[in-house]
Amino acid sequence: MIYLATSLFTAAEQAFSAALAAEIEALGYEVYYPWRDAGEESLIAAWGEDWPRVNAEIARRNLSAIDSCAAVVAVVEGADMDSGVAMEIGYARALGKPVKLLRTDFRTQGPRIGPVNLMLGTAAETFYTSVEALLAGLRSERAEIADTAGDAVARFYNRIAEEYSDGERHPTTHAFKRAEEAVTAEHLAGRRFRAALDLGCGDGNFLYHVTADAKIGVDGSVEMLRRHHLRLPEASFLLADCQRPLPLAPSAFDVIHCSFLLDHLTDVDACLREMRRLVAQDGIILLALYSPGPFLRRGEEDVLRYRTASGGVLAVRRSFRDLADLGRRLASLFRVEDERTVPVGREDLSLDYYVLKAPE
Amino acid sequence: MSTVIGVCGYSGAGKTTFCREMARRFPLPVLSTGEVVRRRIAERGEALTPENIARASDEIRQETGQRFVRVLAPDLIRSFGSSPAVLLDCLREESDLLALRELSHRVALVAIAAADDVRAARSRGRERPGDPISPAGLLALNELERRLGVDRLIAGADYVIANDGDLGRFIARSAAVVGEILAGA
Repeated sequence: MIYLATSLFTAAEQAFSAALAAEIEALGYEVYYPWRDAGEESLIAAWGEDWPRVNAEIARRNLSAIDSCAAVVAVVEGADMDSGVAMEIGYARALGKPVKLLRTDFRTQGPRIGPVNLMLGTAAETFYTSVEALLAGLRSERAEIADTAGDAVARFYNRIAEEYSDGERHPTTHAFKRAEEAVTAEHLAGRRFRAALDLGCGDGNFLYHVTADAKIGVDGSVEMLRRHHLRLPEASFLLADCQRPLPLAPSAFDVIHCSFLLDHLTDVDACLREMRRLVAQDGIILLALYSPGPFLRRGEEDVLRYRTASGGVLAVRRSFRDLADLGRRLASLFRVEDERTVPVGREDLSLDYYVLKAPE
Repeated sequence: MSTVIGVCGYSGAGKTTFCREMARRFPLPVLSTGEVVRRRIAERGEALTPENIARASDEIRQETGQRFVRVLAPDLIRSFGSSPAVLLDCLREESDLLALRELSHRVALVAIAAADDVRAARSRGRERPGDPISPAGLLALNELERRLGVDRLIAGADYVIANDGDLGRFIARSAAVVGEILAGA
C-alpha cells in the first residue's frame, strides 16, 4: 500500500491529489489517500463536531496507515511545504519507509538550498519533478514494493459497499448479477441443501435464496459482510481471503457458490483447490465469471475503474488473462456437469457459468 | 458506555495475537481470563501444567456460578471510565457471553478462526503450557472445546476473522473489524 501525503486545503490540491491517487491505483497499487480514506465523514456523523475527538482519530488512522504502508509518496509544493506533510515524511522516515517526493513547483529556496529544505531532501529516497516521472518510477518498481493485492480489493469493496447494490447507478454490474442469479435460481429450484457456502459473497443474494440448514458466506470486505449479516442474521460470515486455507472442514458443503470473484484474485488456482477441498462428494459448485473474451479484446484486462456516487474514481486490480483457459483447468480438478455462456444484454458482454462436481 | 469486544475461538487460532495487536493499534486495554487462571496457579506456587490450568479454570467456573468473566468485573468497570472499548481475551462458553451481557450493554463478539494446520503450527511455535504438540492433541483439544461450547460461540459471533498464517493480512482484517465496531460505538 502507498501512503499519499499531500496538502488538502484548496480545491486545486484536492482535485490534483484525487487524480494522482487514481493514477497510482491504476498501476495496481493500493493507495491510502487521507482525504478519502480516513473516514472523516463517518466520524463526524458518529461524533458530530467534537473536533478534538474526530481529529485525534483521523491522525491515529493516518499514522496507522503509514505504519503498514510499503512507501510514502509526498507532494511537496509551494514556496515552502505543508507542515502536515512534513510531519508524515518525518514519521515515515523514522520507520525506515521509502519516501518519494513529488514537486512540480519550479520555485527554489535559493542556490544554496535548492528546491526543498535540506532535511527534506535527506529524508527522501527519490525526488521527482513531474507526475509522469513519478508514475514511471512506480511502474518500474511495482515488483519490489510488496503490494498486498488482496487487501486492496477488500478496501475497494469497503469503500463502495454503501452503493454497490444500487442497480441504477451501475447498470452493467446489475445486468451481470441479474443474469447470474437467473441461472443459479434454476439450479436451486426445489432443492434443499445441508450446508451452503458462498465464496466472495459480498452483500449478495445467493445465501438469501438458497434453502440450506447451514449457510456460510466468505468475503474479504468487512463492510460487505456487515451488510449481508444484517439482512441474513441466521447465516455465519467469515472475513477471509479465498486464496488461503479457510478454517472450514473438508467436504463440508453440498453447495458452493462463487460468482464474479475470480477476476480479482492473483492466485485463481489456490481458490479452485480450496473449492475442491470443501465440496462434498455429492455436492455441486456453481461458478460464474465475466467472460474474459470481450474484456481482453478491449484491452481492459488490468484495472477496474469505478465511478462513485460522489464523483470520484476508484481503481482496483483485476485480471482476465489468467482466466482465458479456465475451462481446461476446471476439467482437471472437477467433473464439469454444465458449461454455458450467457449474454447479459449489454454490448457484447456475457458471463461464463459452470456447474462442477467433485471427481468420481 | 464502553463496548466490550469479547474474543473467542479454538486454541491456537490467534486470539491473543488479535488482542495484543489491536490493543497496540487503537489503543485499547486488554483483560485476560487466562491471566486470572495463571495468577491463581502462581499464587499457590504450583507449576503451570495443563492439569493445573484445567483445575483452576473449573474452580473459578464453580465459584462464579458458571459465569467465569465475572471475576473480571472490577477490571472491566475500571476500564470503562477511560476507554471507548475493552478487549476481552477470551470467552469459552455461551455462559461467558451471558455474563458479559450482564456487565455491559454493548458486547461485540469476535471469533478468530484458523485452519487446523495453521493452529497446529502456531501452537507448536509458541509452546505455551497446555498447548497440543501433535495433531492428535489438537483434535483432542478441539473435542474438549467443542464440549465447552466454543462452536456455538463462533456460530453466534458478530464477526468471524480468518487467520491464515499471514500475520500482516490477519492484522489488517482485524483492524478493519475493530474499526467498524468502534465506529458503531
